[in-house]
Amino acid sequence: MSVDLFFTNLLYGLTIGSALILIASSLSIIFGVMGVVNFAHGSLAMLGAYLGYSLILWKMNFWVALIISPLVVGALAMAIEGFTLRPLYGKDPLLQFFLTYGLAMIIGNLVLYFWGSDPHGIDKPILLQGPTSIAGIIYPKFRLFVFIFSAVLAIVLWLFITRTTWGIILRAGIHNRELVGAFGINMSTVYTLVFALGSALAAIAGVILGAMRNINPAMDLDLVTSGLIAVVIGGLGSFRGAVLGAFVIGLSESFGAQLWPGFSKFTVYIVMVAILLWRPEGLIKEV
Amino acid sequence: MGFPGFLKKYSGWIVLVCLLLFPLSAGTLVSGFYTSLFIRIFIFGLVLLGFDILMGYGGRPSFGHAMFFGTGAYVSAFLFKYVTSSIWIALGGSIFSCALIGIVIGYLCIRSHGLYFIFLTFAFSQFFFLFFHSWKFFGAADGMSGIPKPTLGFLFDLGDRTVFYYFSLGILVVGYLLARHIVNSAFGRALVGIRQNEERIAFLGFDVHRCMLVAFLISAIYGGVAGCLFTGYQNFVSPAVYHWSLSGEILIMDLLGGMGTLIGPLIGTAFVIYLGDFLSSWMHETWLMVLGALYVIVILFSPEGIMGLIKKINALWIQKDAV
Amino acid sequence: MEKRGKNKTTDLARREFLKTMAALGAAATMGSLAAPAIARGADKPIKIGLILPYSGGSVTLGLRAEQGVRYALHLSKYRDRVKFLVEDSREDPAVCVEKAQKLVEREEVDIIIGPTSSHTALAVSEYCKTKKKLLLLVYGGNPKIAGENCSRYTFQCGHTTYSVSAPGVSWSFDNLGKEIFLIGSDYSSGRDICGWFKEGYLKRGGTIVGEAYPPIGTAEFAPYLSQIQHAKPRPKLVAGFLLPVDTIDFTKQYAEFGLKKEGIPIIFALGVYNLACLKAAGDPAEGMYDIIHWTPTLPHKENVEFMEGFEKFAKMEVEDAVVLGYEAGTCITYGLDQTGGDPNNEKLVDAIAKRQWVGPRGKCSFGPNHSVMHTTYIRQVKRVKGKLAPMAIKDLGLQTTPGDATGPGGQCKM
Repeated sequence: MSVDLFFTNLLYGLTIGSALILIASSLSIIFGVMGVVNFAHGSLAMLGAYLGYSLILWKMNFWVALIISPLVVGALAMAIEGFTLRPLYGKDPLLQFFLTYGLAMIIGNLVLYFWGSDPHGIDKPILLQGPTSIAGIIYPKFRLFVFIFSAVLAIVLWLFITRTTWGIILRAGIHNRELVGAFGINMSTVYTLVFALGSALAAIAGVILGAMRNINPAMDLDLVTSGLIAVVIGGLGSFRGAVLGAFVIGLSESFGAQLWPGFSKFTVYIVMVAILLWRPEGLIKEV
Repeated sequence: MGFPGFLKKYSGWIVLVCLLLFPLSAGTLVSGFYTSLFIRIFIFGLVLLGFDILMGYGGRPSFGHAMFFGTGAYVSAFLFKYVTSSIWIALGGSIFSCALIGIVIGYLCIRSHGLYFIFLTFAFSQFFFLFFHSWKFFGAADGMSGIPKPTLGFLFDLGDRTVFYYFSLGILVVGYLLARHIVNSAFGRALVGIRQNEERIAFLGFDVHRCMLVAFLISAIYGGVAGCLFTGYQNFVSPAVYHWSLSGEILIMDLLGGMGTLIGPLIGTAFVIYLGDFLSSWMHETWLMVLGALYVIVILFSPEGIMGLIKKINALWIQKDAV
Repeated sequence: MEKRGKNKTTDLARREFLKTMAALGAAATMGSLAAPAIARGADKPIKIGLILPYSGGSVTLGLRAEQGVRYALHLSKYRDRVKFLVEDSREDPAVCVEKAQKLVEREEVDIIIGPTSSHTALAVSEYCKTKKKLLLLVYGGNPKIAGENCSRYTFQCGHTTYSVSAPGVSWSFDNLGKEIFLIGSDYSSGRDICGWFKEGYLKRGGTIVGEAYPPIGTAEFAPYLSQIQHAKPRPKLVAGFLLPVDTIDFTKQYAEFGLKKEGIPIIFALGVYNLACLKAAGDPAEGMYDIIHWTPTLPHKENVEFMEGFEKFAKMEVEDAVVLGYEAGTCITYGLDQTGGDPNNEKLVDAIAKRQWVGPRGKCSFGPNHSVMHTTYIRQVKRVKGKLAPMAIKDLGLQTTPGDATGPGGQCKM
């Protein structure tokens, strides 16, 4: 592979990865704090995408949709958490997993019911349309935006988790729920807020993906499985790990498509199995 | 003991007799289509028996059981099409291949627990899915059709649906008795012990990993046999048999029916398959939503599944007797 | 000794238990005994079973095709006799065959209108062959059904993957260029279509610059686009077929990565650049080509009347899937007209096989392999009154899928 091709694939791999960062990192936060593997995460992202599409249809611009959609989805997520997840805390995590599986089915079908079956797209803001060039390689402006946006958001979240009081409460909650409760902090509220935050981030990811690709009623399953794989590779419960996992997936798909066409999807699973067998905590152990 | 007590004690026999007599009414009282539905229930019930031993009794949730079902299906497809149409050879081939895969993959997976076990089994089954999805010899994404019908080798024609019904019912009954025996044995009790407290069982001198490996192997073989029957019945095979949604359905059937009871998962299988068929005809645009809502409701209100519900009713019953 | 106290709670529990058991038993029995068609009067209801996708990636086909069928029957004199039974195909061959069994054996339908994907269509066609049940395929354009798996009882009313791809190969060679890059979704249809392009080009001395088969559901085409960009010699066109949703992503990214600017057009088979796709893909699709049997702007009166009438009837935009459903529906009404309203399958099959008509697509008829003969067009996406629409730019004449030994599906022996 020539140096030029290598860098091209590297860049494209990072693109694929950055699309996944928001999904993976929000999934990771939810798991890290609540211990819940949210199978409905992709569906919430899809809901966010469709909401964004509708908002833009109602003549709002892209940036406004990017703000309103996650707010709506976040609010909805709070309701979902209160009615369905909350009664299951402390019980078998398998039950929680399957609850979210059922929720994914419901949300997926609801989306189909309300928005119909046609694929849609979200128009990119005019500023960000068309290609630009990085080191001589043609690269779409919008993807550059996605990369930067995801990176910035990830860094902001990272700082929030590590430097603010709330963030420390979240991390302490991962390790010892009762102790944190003993400090007078209501963990239930924390859980609800975390789930809402995670879902809102998923919605943001949905809107962005809707602009980058298309919106269709089947997009949720692929998103959640890719997100889960990224989280597993990076380390369940590790925020940085999720980001790393997203890039690992992106790179393996990109290089895989070049080197072993037809088997590109294999590489992702090979990495996943390797990690689970030899370093199940993932590539990055701590948050 | 009263009528209900009689029901409880002989319920197994009653159900069996009903099932045996059922096809005779098919075509007259009841449409022949239901014979097909029941065959499907029997086949998946077989998977669930083995699966319950692994998850319900042993406590290891596998999200990759499609790999055994699929292997049984594809191996049988190959045998039927290119070697022989004898169902016995196909069963043997399926058992052998799934045992092999079960040992290898089981050995790798068995040290993991809970969520990690789920992800590992998921990843391994995805290998199979992707592999067969691309393998031209087996028809890649479109699968293989035109697979000849299997033969019993004596007397009856397995190509006849009613005969196949009895055959699969027979295998299910044998499978159930075997599973019941396994579960009631010392091995079975060790499994339950492992699920409840792995360390303690280890201290008692049991080789935990070996026990779990055996459980994994058993569940793999059950899956393979079911897959073989599936191909024998459908006469075609496609990568859908390896898809992770199948693994998810198996898990749900176990959960809904009631893990760790053997009967529960059978009921769960019947419930999910029947309901899925009924709903998808009745509300063909929104049935997934209704099914999902049903899962959510069951998980929230009766986490021990249908068997849990029956146990509660039973407990109320005993209360009454005790008065 | 038992104390026989009148404990209300446990009595209640017992009654509840018995009620539940009775209810379960009754429900089970009722479900099984849901009787099939009872005594049919002189005006026998005509039962049409539809097995279409209502979940998964092809939902849009299912909903639209169903409306197309309903519209066709609505226009006919059988509209009050017709009863539709709709099933979700779930895009799974095993499920489709089960649904077919349910429709044929329990519901005793007269006609089945079939599933859409290649393998589900094949599975149901094989089943209907054994049951001698009339099957009309909407899509289901598996060339094998026109060839070695042909059946007297199965009619491919829409098109096959062959009839809306292969005829465009020569045109591409003459008008777009001799150096071609092939891209196809990695499954039978994608590979078949690329194969036909390859065959056609090699026969005429063209150059295959490269080939790529992205897995179904690929959303990121960057690696493939980079292959196209780095291919030598430079391709003059990119041809093949990607699933509709993937086409949207591919086309958008094609523009984003600058390939559109280089003036290398895309030509895809199966009419992927339909109105829904254009709405989702937007400007990047302008100027691209596809090959299909119908376009909304066909001017002949059958098409215009059809489109106006349908939009009033279903309040839905006319898309390709609607046309396919409609054509299947009109085959049924034609057949019934010929048999005097008798849904007897043998008579219907004989009648439909001889049908020659002018529909929204223009002139159509059936070949001896019961695969439709229709006009194939090259379309290009153009901006009309500010909106993107696929315009027919070339009429390739009547096309069909041959059922002889050299045909794409092998020899058909009926």
